[in-house]
Amino acid sequence: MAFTTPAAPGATALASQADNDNYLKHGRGVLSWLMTLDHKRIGVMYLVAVLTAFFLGGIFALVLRTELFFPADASNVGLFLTPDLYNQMFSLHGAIMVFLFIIPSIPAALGNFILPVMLGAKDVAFPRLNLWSFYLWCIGAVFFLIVLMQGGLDTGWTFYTPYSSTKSLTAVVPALMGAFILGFSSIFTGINFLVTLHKMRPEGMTFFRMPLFLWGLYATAIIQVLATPVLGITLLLLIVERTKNIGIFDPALGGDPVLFQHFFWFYSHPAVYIMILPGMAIISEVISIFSRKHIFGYRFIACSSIAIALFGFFVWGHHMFTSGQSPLAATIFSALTFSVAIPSAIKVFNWLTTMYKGNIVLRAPMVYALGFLFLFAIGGLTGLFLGTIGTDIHLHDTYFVVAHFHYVMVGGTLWAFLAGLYHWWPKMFGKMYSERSAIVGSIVAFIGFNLTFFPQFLMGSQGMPRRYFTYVPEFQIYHQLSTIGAFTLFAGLLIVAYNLIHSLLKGEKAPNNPWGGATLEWQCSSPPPYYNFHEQPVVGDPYDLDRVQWDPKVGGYVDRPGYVPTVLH
Amino acid sequence: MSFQLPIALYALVNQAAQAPAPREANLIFPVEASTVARGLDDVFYFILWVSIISFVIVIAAAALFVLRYRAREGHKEEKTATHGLGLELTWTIIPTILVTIMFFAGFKGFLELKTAPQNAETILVEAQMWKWSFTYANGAQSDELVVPLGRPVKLVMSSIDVLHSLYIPAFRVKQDVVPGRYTSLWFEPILAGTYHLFCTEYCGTQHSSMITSVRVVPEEQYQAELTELANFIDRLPPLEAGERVFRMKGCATCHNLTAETRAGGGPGLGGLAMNASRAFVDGSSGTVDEQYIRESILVPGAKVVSGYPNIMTPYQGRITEDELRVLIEYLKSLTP
Repeated sequence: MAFTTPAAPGATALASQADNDNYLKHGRGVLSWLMTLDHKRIGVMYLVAVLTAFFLGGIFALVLRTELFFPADASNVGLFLTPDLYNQMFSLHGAIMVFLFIIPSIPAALGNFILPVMLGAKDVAFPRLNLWSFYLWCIGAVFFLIVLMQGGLDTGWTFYTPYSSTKSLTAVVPALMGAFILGFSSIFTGINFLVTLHKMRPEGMTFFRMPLFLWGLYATAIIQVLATPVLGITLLLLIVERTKNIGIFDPALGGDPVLFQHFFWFYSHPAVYIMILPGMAIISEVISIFSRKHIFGYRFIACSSIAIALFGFFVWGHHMFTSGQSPLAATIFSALTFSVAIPSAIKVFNWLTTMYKGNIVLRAPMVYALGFLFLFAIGGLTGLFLGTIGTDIHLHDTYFVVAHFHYVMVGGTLWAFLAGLYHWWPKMFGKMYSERSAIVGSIVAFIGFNLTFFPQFLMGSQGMPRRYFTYVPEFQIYHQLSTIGAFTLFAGLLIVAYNLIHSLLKGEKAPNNPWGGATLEWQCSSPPPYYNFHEQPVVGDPYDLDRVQWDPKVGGYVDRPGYVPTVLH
Repeated sequence: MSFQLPIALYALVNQAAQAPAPREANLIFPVEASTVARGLDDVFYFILWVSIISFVIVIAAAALFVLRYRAREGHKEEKTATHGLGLELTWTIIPTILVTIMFFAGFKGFLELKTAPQNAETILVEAQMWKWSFTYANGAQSDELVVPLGRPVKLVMSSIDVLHSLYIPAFRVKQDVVPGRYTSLWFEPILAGTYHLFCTEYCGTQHSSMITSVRVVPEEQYQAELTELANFIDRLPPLEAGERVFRMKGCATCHNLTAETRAGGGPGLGGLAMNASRAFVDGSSGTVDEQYIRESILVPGAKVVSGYPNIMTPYQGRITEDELRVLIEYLKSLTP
């Protein structure tokens, strides 16, 4: 401190060097991206990749909704699809959205970028494994392109046997290979995050002083590492049955088709929490910062993530209440299922209490977080009808289920993903975006989403089965509302895409800390330098927002002078 | 004994449970046409009210906070407690109690769904890609389900190929039909009428055409229809009997009665007799005659018409000689 004057020239040089050096400029050319070990560049590549998959899956959804505007005629001729094409469209819509988009969306794209910076670290524990995980994703995606070229996949994303193993005439094996490889991509991300969070937390950051986003990623990583191998083995067994006729799942070969469902949901139910936990974690960050309040109930929110991750392993049988599993098993699974409802409710009430007496800033991330609250509440509450065994029998495999999981996965995860994307966008790319078009896009998408999926609840409780190419006339009005909603949703998301691309090209320069967050990623410049931090940031309470104050000169928040953060050791 | 409390609580909050009359069709549900429907719907409405109240609380609080505490000139956040065990326990315990009630109420309904009365009329169900076949006590078969009003019916179900699921929305019952094992479900219809019967487990190309209906008819009519359905081949002229076999065996799911191909299905069957020869996928060709039609029904994979996939279920062993004979006569009679 006493050497301020002599050190000044050097410090200025360092500062200007810091201005020029950021991860986007560090190294030029395509190869510097493709061969990078930088978690930030890998995160950005993941972001581009998963958004491409999301676009493709979304187009398939629009094709489905357009076809369903009218039922097929007396000769079973649809508007523009054949039954086979329709079946392939819904299968690929599901498989692409689940395996290529939602599962990697928040952890692999946003998590990769933010996790090390939030830790004040240079990178994840295994940067090469990280890049390999991205390339596995690409290889998995190539397999799905092969599926498309070989005439599609018509088993649904669930690959139920024995249809998938012996009856389907489509490219099931490449799809299984693709999902298998994508599983390893997911496992590698999980291992990386687990090790990074255990070994690379900075001095002073105990587990219970981690930002809640990291708790969410930690809980997610546990599931990725423990559940995904089961999916891998299951898919391999299915490949063996399909190619070698070795009876595992097909009763005609001596197998058991219900066994497949147990294996499949043992992964795929916990996978639902791979999708939603990181989303909830983003909401915890956003609501605290944009309410200018310390998060309420930190420990309960953190532990509820772990609780959801663990309970999530014991409820897979609720996908199988009508499958022919024993009534005793069904009853036990129903009871266990409700255990997941409690931690979710705890989170919601803690978020609300955080907003109480706050100073709520309705910027884009917060608008998405509020949208999340609304949509996830509906998604979560409608889960109660499905967890309750007596009412599920009627609702199972109807559009009620379709509406429920879209409210959770789109209304929940996608909305949280967009909240996170808008929240960290200035940090990631050093650019601000047009607040107005971000919020307009959010509102249009919100209206479109509800118009798409709310009628599906009613259609489902009236008895409309899912995965139907055509339908009986009384369901037409619901289908038409839903289709109009789907195009509205698409329009909203186009505004979002335009908004973000416009920001990249013409956005104003972002300050280091535009929203006034107290977590460490706001301590480095926007976009972050290649090495993330020039000096090790001081760890404080991640939700102590008094650490920073608004500075009109930089148009963002800066460290409050003289404020001594509660330095944690 | 500890089970009694939640069930009693549920009955207490759910006044409707005391009025046993079935509800008409409404915005949410089709008509309550079976004995279990009313009770299951009551559970649904109970959860619905809990959900609506919870939702309103959450959203009203969020909206209120956004309005009152939105960032504006002169407004500043206030420091409040950052944790509170009392609050946390409140919103842990209250939802726990509510979901416990839901679980027991749903469990009770499920027990009813799973416990068929001893005196239930048994009807055998066979599912295949893509039709339902129902066999009654007197040996009669049908492609739509006919059941007696006011008498419990138990369906014992099997599948010859892949997973299917039998679903009757008006009765609130559903059960997967699994190859290699028997599954069953039961219901007691309380309103005469015709209701949808859907397949709700995705089963391939024509999954959405695997639809039929359930007709609930008075006991005397039920007995009369069963008698009429049995041995119809002996009583009816061959063409009429053949038309009935055509319907019963579900041929119409995939084949039009004209020469036109049904979308996602096989060749149209109109004008078969006039097609002197057909080209097959293996490059060979053959003449259309009784023997060819017979083989194409029993072993469809033997000669697959050019341009079509080999997806038809073989009927070898699943159709009687009498049925086959009248069916072939009927098919030959179709014009393009």
